[in-house]
Amino acid sequence: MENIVCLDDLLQDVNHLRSSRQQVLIYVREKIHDEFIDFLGGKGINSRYAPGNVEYRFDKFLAIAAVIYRNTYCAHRYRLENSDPVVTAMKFMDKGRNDRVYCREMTTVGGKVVILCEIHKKKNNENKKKEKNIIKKVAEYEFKIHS
Amino acid sequence: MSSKYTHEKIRQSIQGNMRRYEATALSMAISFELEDFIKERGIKKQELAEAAGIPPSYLSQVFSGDRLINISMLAGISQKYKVRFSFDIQDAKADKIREFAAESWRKPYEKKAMIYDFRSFSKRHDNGYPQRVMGGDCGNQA
Repeated sequence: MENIVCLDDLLQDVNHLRSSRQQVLIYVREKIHDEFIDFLGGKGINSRYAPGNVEYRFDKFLAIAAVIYRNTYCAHRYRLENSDPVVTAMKFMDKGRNDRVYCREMTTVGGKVVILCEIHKKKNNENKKKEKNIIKKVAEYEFKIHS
Repeated sequence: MSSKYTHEKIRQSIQGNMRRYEATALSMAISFELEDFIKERGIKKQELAEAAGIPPSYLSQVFSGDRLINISMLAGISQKYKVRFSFDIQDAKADKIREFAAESWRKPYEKKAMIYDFRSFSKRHDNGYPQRVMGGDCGNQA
């Protein structure tokens, strides 16, 4: 079992958009927490990258989080890739890039939990073998959510 | 948590752009309402874009959070579909993030844009509702 870290405290601007029907919480695997923060900061592509500064992609992340909190999917932002178990892809399409963060959705007594599992720098439009393997891998992750 | 980044430090890094992030959140909230509205009315996105006076691709960018919605778009939609937009101003205590999140979860519509439908308003008014200029229950589809 892996530890997960809640990201809701970083998303206060869109917290209020939560669905009335189901509580939605956003987590990231502890193992990729730092990598995800670097990803938001544009490490390797942002000339003004500074460790811990997430400005580069934070507005995209907010827009995606708003869709997630609303308990919906959106082809441009947050796409359903696999329905059982639920695997989704956050799309960070900007500045000529097509990067993805693959997530696992789980339903708990309190509502829905979205766990960011894998960061992937996608190089094509279609889901090729590499992407399909990541989706399969994310579907096989096991998490135990303590509510 | 064994991380080199604390959330407190990350929050500090976004402080300078809070206005931009709040604008993104507001725009998304309005676009969610518009999405519900066009779904209820069976309006195509292309028709909505026309009413808003923008190309469909621009509207897609608004719906996906890449561009901000603006007041003149809403004015065009309001004119075309005979609806009125209204906004609530609520006190959001940003220093109490957790409580705010829990509170807003219980009252999810508090900070959202609302669409008032003149037709449903007049229908309700005709059915003996007390006359009001503006109010939280006058035709709000939410």
